[in-house]
Amino acid sequence: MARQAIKLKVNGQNVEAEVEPAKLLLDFVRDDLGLTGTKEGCGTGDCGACTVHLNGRPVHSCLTLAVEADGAEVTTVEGIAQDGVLNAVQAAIVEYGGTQCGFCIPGFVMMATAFLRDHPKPTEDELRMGIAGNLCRCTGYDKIVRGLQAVVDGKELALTKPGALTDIPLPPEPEGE
Amino acid sequence: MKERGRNVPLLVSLRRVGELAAMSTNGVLDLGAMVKCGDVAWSADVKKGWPMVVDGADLVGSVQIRNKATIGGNACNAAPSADVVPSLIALDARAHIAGPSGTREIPLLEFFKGPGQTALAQGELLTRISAPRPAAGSGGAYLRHVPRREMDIAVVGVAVNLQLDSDGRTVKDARVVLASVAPTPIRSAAAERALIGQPLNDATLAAAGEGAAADARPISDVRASADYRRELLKVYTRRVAQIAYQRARGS
Repeated sequence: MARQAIKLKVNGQNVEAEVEPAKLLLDFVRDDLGLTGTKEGCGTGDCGACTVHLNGRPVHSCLTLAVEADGAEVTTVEGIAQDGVLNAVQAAIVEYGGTQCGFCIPGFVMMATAFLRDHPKPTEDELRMGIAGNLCRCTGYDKIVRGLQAVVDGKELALTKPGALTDIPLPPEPEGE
Repeated sequence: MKERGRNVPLLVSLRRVGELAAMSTNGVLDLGAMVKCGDVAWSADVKKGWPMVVDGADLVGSVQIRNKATIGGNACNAAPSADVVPSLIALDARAHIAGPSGTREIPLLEFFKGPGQTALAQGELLTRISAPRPAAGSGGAYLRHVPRREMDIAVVGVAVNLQLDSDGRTVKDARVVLASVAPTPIRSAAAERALIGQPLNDATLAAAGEGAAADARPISDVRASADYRRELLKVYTRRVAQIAYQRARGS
């Protein structure tokens, strides 16, 4: 079928492309734009690993056509950190040990970032319901929830400081062999 | 379609038909078929005027799903377990249908013909669902039973819409709608009869629950046995009627 021209913003950048009408937004950002942080888990809207923001709202990119994003603003996990500085959700998930294999984490970052923007002071129950559409097979969720709770509580997060990712001291040289 | 169960030669997007995505809470509740479940679930106006509709819309899938799933989609999928539908039926909602020969409207209850089967003829589409503003002294609620709280399918669902007499105690009118216990959402006439004209006490609630269980035609499947569903109906009819009663008294 004839390709369709779309114009959108992805992580603040203008993008123009021609896509197959049946192409998923997931495949568009991964294969055409090279933004592979967005993951395909189930492909059927159950696991949340492919969550992106479409005009600020978290949606499954595996259930969204690329042509649906025509004229829209799309944010992927690559657009969350600003100038090399993690946002609080990212920092908290790292600092509280919320990531093990890591496959589900981009989806959690996108969902939790939107949820805490809209509900800055949720109860733990509301928080858990907010991320209930994101599945993690490793962590048992507890450390993810504890990390997000730290964001809610305004706890200081070292990784949100400028340079936190780049100014990491190198490990000492090993002693001579 | 995505699971390749259906071969679709041509797909027409309705995304730019603005009327289909319009929502109005001005007097009547008017939900375009493409209004998103989240737009209903998170609307302060819907919550104020039709809280039982919010009860259902807020249960559809996850936040991500509610940002995409539509009211019309939940209806046209015609699952007996559709969470958006029972409250709307209990509010006497009507389905508005457009097709090659013009438009027509039918009671939403009559829209459902069986699992996956609707009253839509070839070439017709559901354009909107409308529900009147509840009468003074009314209150309604919807609850479903699920083994896990989110991202699950109703084992049973019950919507109750009550109108109280001017004494604020006696039930003047009632709608009881059951989900997941028949091929379509159904009204329970026996449960409604048990409620109407009665004060909402333990005996009335028990009779309403028995009525709902008697009217249900549940199947046994992987989620629950038919007998268990009937038992659940007794519990949930009581529970939902109590919430509806509190809301009616607070209205």
